[in-house]
Amino acid sequence: MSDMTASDANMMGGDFPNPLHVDAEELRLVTPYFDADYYLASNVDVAHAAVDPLEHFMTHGWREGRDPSINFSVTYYLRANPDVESVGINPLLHYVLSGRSEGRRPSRLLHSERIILEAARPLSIREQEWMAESGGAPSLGPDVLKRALEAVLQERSGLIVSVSHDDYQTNVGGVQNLVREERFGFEKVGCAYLHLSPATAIPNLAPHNSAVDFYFSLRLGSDHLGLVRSEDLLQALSSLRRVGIPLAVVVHHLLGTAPEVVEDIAALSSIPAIIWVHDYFTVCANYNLLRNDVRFCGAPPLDSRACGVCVYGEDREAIRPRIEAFFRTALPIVLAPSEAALSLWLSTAGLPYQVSAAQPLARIVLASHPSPHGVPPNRPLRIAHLGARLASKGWLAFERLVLRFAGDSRYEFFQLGVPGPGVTTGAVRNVPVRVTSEAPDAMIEAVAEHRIDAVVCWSTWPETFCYAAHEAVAAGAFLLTHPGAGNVPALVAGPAAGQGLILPDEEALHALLEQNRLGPMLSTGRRRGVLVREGGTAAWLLRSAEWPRFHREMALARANNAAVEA
Amino acid sequence: MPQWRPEGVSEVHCFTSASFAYLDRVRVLAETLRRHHPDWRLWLCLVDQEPPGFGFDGNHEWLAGVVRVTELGIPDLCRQLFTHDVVELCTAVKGPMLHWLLQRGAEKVVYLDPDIAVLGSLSEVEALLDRHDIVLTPHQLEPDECPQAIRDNEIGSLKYGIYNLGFLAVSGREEGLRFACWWRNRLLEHCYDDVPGGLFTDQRWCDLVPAFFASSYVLRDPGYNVASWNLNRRPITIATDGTILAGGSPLKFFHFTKVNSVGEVMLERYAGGRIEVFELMQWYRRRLVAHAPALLPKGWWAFSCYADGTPIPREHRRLYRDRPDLWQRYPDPFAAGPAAFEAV
Repeated sequence: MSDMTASDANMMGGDFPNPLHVDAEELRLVTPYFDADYYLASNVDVAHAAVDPLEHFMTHGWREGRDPSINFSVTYYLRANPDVESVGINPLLHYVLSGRSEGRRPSRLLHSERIILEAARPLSIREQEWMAESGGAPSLGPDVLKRALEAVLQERSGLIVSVSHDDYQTNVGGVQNLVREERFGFEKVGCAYLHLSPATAIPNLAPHNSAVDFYFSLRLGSDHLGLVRSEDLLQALSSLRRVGIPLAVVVHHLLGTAPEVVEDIAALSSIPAIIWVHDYFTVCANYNLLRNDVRFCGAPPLDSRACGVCVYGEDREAIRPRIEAFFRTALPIVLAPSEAALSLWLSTAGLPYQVSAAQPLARIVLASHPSPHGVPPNRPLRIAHLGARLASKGWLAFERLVLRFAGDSRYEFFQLGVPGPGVTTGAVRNVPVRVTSEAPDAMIEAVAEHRIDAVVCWSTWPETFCYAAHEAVAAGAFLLTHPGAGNVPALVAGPAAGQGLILPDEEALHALLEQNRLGPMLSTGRRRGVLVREGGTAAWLLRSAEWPRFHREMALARANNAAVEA
Repeated sequence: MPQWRPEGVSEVHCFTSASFAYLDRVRVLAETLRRHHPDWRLWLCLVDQEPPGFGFDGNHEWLAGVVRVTELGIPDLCRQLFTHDVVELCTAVKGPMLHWLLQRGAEKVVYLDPDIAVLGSLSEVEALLDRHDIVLTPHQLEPDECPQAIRDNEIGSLKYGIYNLGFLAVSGREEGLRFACWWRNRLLEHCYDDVPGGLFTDQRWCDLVPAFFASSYVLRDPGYNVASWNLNRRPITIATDGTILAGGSPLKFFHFTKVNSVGEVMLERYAGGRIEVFELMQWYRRRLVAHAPALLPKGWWAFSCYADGTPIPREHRRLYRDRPDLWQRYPDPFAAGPAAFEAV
């Protein structure tokens, strides 16, 4: 035990006596099964004590239920093997010496997925916890709101009212980026942009009760106005309509809102309300269509056996009539961020609509010539996961890949994004990356800077528009994905053809690496590129048949305004 | 006596047998059976008595009725209650309860263990009873290959019975009644967990059924009675159209044996790396929590203790079973107390 003093040992081990003797042969045997980085990241106290992590595990750690790697669970091994527990042997040593050859499992079957499965709870339960955390009192009276809207409409002659689940200025993500982008687009053509998000964020539809007020948080242009009662908002918008101001309603998400309230607002729209399919919330309460949070379900009929055993089955049943009523009344225009998303929505939603179209969030433009930078000789291939360690984004498949090839000198593994959630194997190197409105290309730059050769994009749900996949290709990386990842395989089959591979399953992914087939694919010349943002709703509307009418109404409103001023 | 309600609407009477400790399971069975067969009537054979302060009203459950063990006309009941442990007694009453239903004119009777959840239509069983008098489901439908599965499953079947008696369907015709009489009589005398002695409660008896009753039928659909002991040959998959399949056949019912204890280890062993099994298990656990009876003391069983509250050891039950002289000396063994048996 190199740097550990007796007092250190006592401090860390609680009531343990002085450091126990560690047999050198035992250390040698367990070393290949011990992940020091994982151990230190999981046990901050050990890291602070600056002791040898393996020796700590062998003397104290296993007795305290600390795991030697992400692959081995001390608690599980002892629970599943009472014979080992009864004799008080170090479970990892037992596994190495005999358990492995006897076919004993080092950890619970499908442990990572089962953790997610066991944590899955209906929205109706989760929303109670959210509601306890958020909320607020209205700060904006009807007169103040009306004056604010009138003031901005002095300069502009049309009003876009958009609805989404949160404030796009204070939250980061694909939908938020799009809202920001389309605001600029609309403002450029003379429209004011009023954004509504529920004052109380919940992961469900808000309850609808005409006796209880619903509050929106309002942002006009870039200014946060405050909270307003939906009735007051409706009154203010109605009065604008009465004086001829054209109004268009864009619904990015219904989460957290009462669709009945949004429906009343949509009724004021001069053109059919536009609703986006950023995910599949209008199809199921699990907006990723992940049954029990672990498997793509395909949105089967509500009365199916699958929905019967899904934690979201009852939520889906509860919200469906309200979503249906919204679509029936609003008969909206449906926009999806990819053809893949639109196609899946059309085949599963069963909801009435007027027009549907795909409006990609961004378009990739690749250089006409391959990048001169290939994989340097004798350097391991660099394979990465982009973004947070989220199961829905394919983290578990990536982690399994890493664990399969950890220690293999042919490969190096990276995660570009926030270092979490959770602790992972020490065989993954984290590169912190944060994409913001100020640094929208931060991920592309990081992928290029770290010379990432391939990105595994193994999303477990059909992505509607996967920025990470586009960023990977734009940075010149080779994309590895599977057929169920939504618009990612569409990207590989289309704009990024030749710069990616669609593999049927994880087994094929592992075989690709095992059989050295990835390297030659990377040497054929990858191209770098740029992501061109496509303008969101504004770009689509300006191209649509609805725009001339809306534009005429804007001109009339301008004329009226001028007449009043004169 | 529960009210017998022959309404002529339904010919199928289902029953299960349980103590209050399994009331949550009974409720899940009732809930799931009702979803697929709202016209079938489920009876509970209750092998228990209410603990103080615990209210139970069978009318408020999704049950056709509750038949208490005391209502089945079991001879020398007190001795039977004492000589069986909870599993033995809950299985021993299945014969008398089947007989009870058939005697009252039930045309088709289906027994389902309380730890079963119905996940598909059982109409095929109803149809089979038009042509056969006894329908059984084997633990396994095909040979295993790996040594551990052979030990766990095939040798398990040789020890505990070829057919899983979590399910049984019997017609009300003469042959069905003949089976019920035979089974009832055997269970009243020989329903013990005594594998070395060739017995395993009610189950091993039914190994004899195909030989004794020519009109019996072995149901070989892999969608029936799926459990840890056959899961390795019947992988669970959930299709995007929402159907749940076992070995490629629509899942009819899953048998969640000991799901909160050793059953999980066996499910893990034979899940074949598929998460779907655990989805079912998690769903079942959620339903159990939703249906947990309030105010039931943990581990309650009315016949687990002597009158003075001392738990009855298995040896005392066996001793009383095997010594007819003690029947005379202690006609109420519960009241006799542990001292009476420790002294013997």
